[in-house]
Amino acid sequence: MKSDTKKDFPIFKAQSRDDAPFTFLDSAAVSQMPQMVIDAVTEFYSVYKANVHSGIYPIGVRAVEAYEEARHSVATFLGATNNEVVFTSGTTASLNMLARMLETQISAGDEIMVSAMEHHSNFIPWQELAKRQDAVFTVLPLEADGTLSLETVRHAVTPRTKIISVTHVSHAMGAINNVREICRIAHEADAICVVDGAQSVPHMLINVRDIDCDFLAFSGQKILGPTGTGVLYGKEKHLQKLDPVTFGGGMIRDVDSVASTWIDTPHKFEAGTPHVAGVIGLGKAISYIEHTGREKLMAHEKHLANMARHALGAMSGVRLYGPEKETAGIVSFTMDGVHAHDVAEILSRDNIAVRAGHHCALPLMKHFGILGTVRASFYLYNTEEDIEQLIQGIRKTRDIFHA
Amino acid sequence: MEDELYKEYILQTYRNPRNKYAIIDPDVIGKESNTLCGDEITIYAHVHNGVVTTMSFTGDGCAISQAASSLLTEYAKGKQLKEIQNMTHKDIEQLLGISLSMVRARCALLPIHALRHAKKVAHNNTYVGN
Repeated sequence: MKSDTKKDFPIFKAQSRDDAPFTFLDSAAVSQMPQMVIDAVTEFYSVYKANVHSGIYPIGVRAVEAYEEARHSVATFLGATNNEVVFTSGTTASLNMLARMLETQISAGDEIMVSAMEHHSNFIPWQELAKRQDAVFTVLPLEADGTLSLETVRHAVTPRTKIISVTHVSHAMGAINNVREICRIAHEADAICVVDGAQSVPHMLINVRDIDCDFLAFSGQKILGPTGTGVLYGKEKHLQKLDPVTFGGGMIRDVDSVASTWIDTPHKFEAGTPHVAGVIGLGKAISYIEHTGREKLMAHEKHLANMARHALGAMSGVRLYGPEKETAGIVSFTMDGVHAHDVAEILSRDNIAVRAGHHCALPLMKHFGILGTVRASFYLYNTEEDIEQLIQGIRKTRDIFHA
Repeated sequence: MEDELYKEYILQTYRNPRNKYAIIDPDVIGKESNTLCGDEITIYAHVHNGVVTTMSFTGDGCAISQAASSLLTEYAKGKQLKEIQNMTHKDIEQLLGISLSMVRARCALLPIHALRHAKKVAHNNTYVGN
């Protein structure tokens, strides 16, 4: 990783203080945007803002071209085709939409499975779907270290299993799931496999053909893109057959008083005016990452995570959560005698941004028997100095609390 | 130098909170959680003619919510329940003696929100014992 990556991201200069640099360790919640992404968004608004549905005039044509170019970038990035990439407002929207789209395929007594490490957004939509269809909602239990064992998945699957939806990387503690194998297990039972890629797509080399997932969701704001953008990938054979759940402009083939028909995928799933500027920004963000190289990015984050785990693990009173090996760039910990909120508060005094709390993963917190953790998450702009700042901040917290 | 938020008495109160127990036969009981962190506080009170005679709380939380709950349950004794339920961001800052950001005010106001949603407990006066 080049040492001055932070220079590409104007927020670091904007938030830097004379006495403390801006130590941003919350990329698992939202990542920062490089100037080239901000410029692409601004250019759309200041030079060619137009709807993607109405363009005969030049800027309308330019808007639709830029929007579809972003779709192509995403498709290439995932190893998919353009028709398999649906733009949404984020992972939450993608998964909620998908749970509605799959509703007609679920009957009473069918089984829907998620794991206990899911973000609430990959938990509740399925739980609600099961409730609506009188299906069985199964939560796959975790091992002591928070990982999901393939044996657990194999044992849980039955001929009635219709959907297995799991996260690729745990947002709360960094565990990586073998989604390729989980998809294989699902397919052996003729079940659909859904992957929550919110924490993996921005950080790992991913190919949807290799994973062989039926659907995959991720968010733009976690991959150096604007907020309010996201993607639902689906195998074309599924997207061709499925009906949209949102109806309106830009997705219609014919409308009459009896019934209406829709155009083809992916546009039938994008009713209404999409977040054009955001999607264009997302396309640029992907170019930025491609330019950096995902292997390099993965190695860099792994190095930072190892360094943080090692340094934190050596401190008395600090407890680390999640597996020790094979984790993503996310480190989750608690401090004896100090609530996670108070840790984050004291770190924030020194311009260090971490996340504290249950991370929208209450089933996982219950698994560990804790209320919440402090989470530091890394991205390509983080440095070893950031980890040193974090460690110093933790020492300071300990001093204030006499913990 | 003392921290502006984590003053020594706030930390003392956090470590050794007063009135941290469940009242078995409360007149009112309320529960509230902070959606940000999931901390949950249950608050109990004996109330006579609208006046709080005893107030207590249970639940784990950060230094601010724990200290606020402890100080509030002390402060409430002899006051109108309504008055306590209507306490504002400013009031709780005064009680704690610190200033709070919008985010941290949610922690401090947790016991007050719990009281606002509190339910009256209907007692039948016949105790059959354990």
